[in-house]
Amino acid sequence: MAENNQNAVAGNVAAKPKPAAPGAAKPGAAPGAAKPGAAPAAVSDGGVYKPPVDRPDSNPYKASRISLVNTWFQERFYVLLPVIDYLKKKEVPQHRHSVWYYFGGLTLFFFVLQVLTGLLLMQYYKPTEAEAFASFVFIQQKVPFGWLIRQVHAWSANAMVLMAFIHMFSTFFTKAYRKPRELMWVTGFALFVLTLGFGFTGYLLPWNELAFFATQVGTEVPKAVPGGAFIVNILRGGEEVSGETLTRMFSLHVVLLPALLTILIAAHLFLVQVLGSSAPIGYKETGRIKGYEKFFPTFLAKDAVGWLIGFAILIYLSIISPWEIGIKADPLTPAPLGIKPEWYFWGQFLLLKDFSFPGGELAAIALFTTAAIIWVLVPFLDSKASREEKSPNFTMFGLFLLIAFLVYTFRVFLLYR
Amino acid sequence: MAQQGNFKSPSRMVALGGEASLSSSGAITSGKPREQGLGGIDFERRSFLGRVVGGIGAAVAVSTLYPVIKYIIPPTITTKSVNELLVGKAAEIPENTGKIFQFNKDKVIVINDNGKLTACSAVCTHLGCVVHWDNEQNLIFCPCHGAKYKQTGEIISGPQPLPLATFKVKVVGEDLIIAKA
Repeated sequence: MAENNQNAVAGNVAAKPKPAAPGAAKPGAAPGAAKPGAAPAAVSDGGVYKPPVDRPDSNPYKASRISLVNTWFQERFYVLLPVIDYLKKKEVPQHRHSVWYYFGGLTLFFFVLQVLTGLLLMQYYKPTEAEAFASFVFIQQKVPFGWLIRQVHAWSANAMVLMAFIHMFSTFFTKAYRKPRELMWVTGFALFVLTLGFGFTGYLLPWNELAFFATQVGTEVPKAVPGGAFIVNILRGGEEVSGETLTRMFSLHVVLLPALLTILIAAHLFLVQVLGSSAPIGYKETGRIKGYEKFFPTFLAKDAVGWLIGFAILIYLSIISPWEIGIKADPLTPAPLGIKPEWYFWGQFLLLKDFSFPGGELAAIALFTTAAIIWVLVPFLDSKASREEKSPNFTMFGLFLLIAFLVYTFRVFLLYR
Repeated sequence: MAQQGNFKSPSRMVALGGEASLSSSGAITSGKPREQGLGGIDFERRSFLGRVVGGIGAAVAVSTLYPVIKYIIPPTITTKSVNELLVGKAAEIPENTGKIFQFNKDKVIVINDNGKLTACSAVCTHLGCVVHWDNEQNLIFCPCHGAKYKQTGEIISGPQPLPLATFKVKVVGEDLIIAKA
């Protein structure tokens, strides 16, 4: 069996030695041929000399260095070797928009950083009303490098959201969602929503004033919808934002959301392995693809360079521009002036404020929900792209959303400087 | 067997076609030999680059792990060690009972045996359980593995290797004071 395995891992060799075709020389005639135990070479019946047949080696990789550990696993898990071969198949097309392929990996990188730094923060953090702020300050001031871990967690969260934004819009504008990758778009959108959920639930955990009032405002939003008070009650674990809310947000932030996100990331990555990276419409036909590079290891190595750059920027930001510690939340103090949510909620925040007419909040929520539903259904609506035709209408729709988002975000930036 | 190799790339197709003649005698078609695939690579330059990348990678890994390891080690909370501590009122320990107080880093059991006050460590020297005063047997008892000590902390029987450390205890007015031995 081991022989077959080595053939398989080397690739391009059939797993079982095939019987030789009729008319060919007897198996075993050539030195080192596939079948062991065959008749010894050269000496044949009747004393007739048969010259050895020159035939290609069945396993040209047998001289390649395979470590002991590798061999150990190969002997036991050879059934998985086709999976590894399958992974080796993955390729990334190279063209002038190839740069956008890096942002999904960057999002994943920042997520992994979030998991690691989050786990570290949890070693000291106490998710209760009485102790949350104190433990948060303890991490920042008393634990060695605690400030760094917290700053990296906060910055990496923002970086993850930003990368997800870029990944989503670049996917949209290159129409990578089109057939057959509809489900990649849907899982990707779900991942994006979960990412925003992480941002929202994590924001309360320091239990400082800003966190408290941001959550107060954020969890108030569903009240505009009929029956929304019930949802608010569930989100807050009571009528008001309190220690109960903190416990809920903490459990969502460290248990439910990571579990969901992990499952969805697995699905997303599985799909990208099966379906491959998409090239923009018409690029294959018009020869604008310069070539393909192997995902493992070439593209992954390039990806890793991007991760290192991202990591360096994170550390730089953590030191140069640290997030504040703030003041402990007190439900009986007035909200600080100029309170606003995190930047990725600015668009929604200002739209809610702009729609100040009666029933405006409900209209704004309805608008978001409709836009989100259309957004997630785009692969199914955009039939032109599915036929590999250009679909400028959808490009315009995406541009409109992107510009509206940027304008609103910038307006908040101007208003709340 | 799943498809193998680079099927999308045109160059791979050429390679497959070019090799077809080799396997005309019915042998198993194989991949390109190693030497062909790695032609045109400057190995000396490659190993140098490999070392540089490995070296930088190691430096990055170490400088990332260092703060993480420092972070995991819990910070030492320094509390002032006092020689004497007022722990409460003498009336808190009625006759024939014991009560445990925190004294610096130690847990100290103060025992009132018919008016005679003694104090010793409340942590069993066997495996660290907290002991109690058993008035019926008139001894300090550890319920975890049955260690028995005298009121003064000396060993009576059980698995414990050492006697309990002793402390001084005194009553000033109504106050109960524990002091280092």
